[in-house]
Amino acid sequence: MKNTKETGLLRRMKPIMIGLLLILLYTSACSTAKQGYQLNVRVNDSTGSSAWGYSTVTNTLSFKSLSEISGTGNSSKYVKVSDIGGMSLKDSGYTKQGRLITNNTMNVASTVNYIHIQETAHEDSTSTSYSAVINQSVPTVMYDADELYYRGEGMNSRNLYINGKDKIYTALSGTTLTKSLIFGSTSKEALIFADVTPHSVLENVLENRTTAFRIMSAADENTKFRFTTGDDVALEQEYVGAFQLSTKLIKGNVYHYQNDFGDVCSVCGETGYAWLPCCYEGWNDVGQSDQNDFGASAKQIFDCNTCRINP
Amino acid sequence: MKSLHVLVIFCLISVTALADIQTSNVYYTSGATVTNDVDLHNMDYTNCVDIYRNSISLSGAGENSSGSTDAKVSESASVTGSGVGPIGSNLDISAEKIQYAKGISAGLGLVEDSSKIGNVNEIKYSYLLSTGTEHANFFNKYASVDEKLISKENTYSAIFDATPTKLSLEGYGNRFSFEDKDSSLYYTLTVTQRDLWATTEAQLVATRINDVEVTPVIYAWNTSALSSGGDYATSHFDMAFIAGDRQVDAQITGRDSNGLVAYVPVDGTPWHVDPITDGSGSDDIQTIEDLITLIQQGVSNSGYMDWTLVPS
Repeated sequence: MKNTKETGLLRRMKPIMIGLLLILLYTSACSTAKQGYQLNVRVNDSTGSSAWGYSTVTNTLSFKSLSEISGTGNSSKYVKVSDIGGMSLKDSGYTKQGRLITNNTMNVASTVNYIHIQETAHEDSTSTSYSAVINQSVPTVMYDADELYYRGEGMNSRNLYINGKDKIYTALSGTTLTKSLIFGSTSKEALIFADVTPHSVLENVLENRTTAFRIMSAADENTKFRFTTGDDVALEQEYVGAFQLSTKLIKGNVYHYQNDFGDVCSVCGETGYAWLPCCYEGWNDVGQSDQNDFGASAKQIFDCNTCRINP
Repeated sequence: MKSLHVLVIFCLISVTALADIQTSNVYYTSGATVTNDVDLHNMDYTNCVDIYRNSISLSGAGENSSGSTDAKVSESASVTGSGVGPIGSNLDISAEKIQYAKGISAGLGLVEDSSKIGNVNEIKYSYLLSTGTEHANFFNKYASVDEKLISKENTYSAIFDATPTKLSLEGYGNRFSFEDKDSSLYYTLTVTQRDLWATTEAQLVATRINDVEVTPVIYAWNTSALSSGGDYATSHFDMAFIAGDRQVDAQITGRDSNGLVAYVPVDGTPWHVDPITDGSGSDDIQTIEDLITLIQQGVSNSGYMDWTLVPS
């Protein structure tokens, strides 16, 4: 019986599989080009125990992908980028017999400027404590634009984007499906403070990290959209039936760190030592030629003059 | 057998639970990875790490916290990567007094004695303890050095250095004190070079057997080990003592992978030195410097043991 099913499936697939799309980009976690750190600490005494961990891992790389596909038949797609400076994406889906047109642009760039870690620990008969200060500059940019048109027996398309604590998930399915999606994320400097005692963990992460996302879609079966950022914000929508969805969001963390020298931020002009810049410096670090490759739509996402969040 | 496994796991958990602050860190740079696990008890500790695209630099230090006399530190470190080795080390100290520092480099840097940029992968520790136990082990792909010490009322300090092509250890211990206390040391040094090894064991026990007012017992020991690439390895241990107000029993023994067994004193009979006769030696000896002068003048028992390993 099993053989009969497999044979039937192959028989159906082979002759009609006119277009097959399989993109696999997987950045190995064991790459020798990996840069960054993983910290784990446990603090105990006779009355309690606490644990804390933090990591930043990336690969110095610049990756670009442009693809244009059109055809009639069955197809499948799997794209994955894992943990580049805290950013990941996964794009997967399949189509049954039908007409598919899709254009995709993906660009990932990351490097390590510096990471400074200072740990201190103390224990005596009266107190037990650990603290860490991490000052890091890991400029990272991820950009993904996806245009899709499908008419046929059925299609399922899913996207997952992660940028630090931000997660965006979309899922579309239907026999008639269109999707126009842009995701952009940047990060650069960050300051992380942690104080750990047997009874408490205090973590303060100050990072300039921006997430921008826009989707316009139409599907006649299922439409799902979910955005979460840590435990602070959760936005979830699900529609069953024929629906059009148009959503745009941008979320940024922007910090100034005041010093005693009264330095002026070169970006916004505010007084204060802006070693955590007030704007989306990760985009500026991409370089003009690479910025041009991203296209004008990317500039609209990252340009702080047009999409400023924390004036 | 099953209950034995459960017992081992229980013991491991129990040992882990003794440490009050544990860190387990990994650092990555192009072509190299550094791991560093630290367990601390009654210690003050700092650790600074700089990571760049092609290099990692780590420096840390610790000492027993103020007022503590039962401090413990356990450190393990490794550097791995393409063309690195690996190199690694373990250091465990439990003592009344502990001071230690570490430095780890990985990736690209200025090569020693040269202005050229090259791979600089190195693990270096320096440490000091008084009255306690110590176990240090470090290795590269050619050789390993293992050192153990049980110290009572004396002080030992050492530096070890591990690179992909070289291992070295320099240690120095002594008791120069006017405190009226029995003391002892038990020391073991094992050097392994490919399939060859040599072990040196030394012990010294200073015990009061009568109530005399004379020069305190004093002693000192030096130890060293060196491995150069895959070519050869050497080890050295020497010891000198003056019995003073205590009876001293001491000996150095050694054996190697070829079955050779050696003793100091060479006849295989340990030193057994009675205290100085009541009253003698106490008038001129007032300071530690005076005691050191006595040893320098050769007014002491002394001996040494050397090993050389040359793989064929």
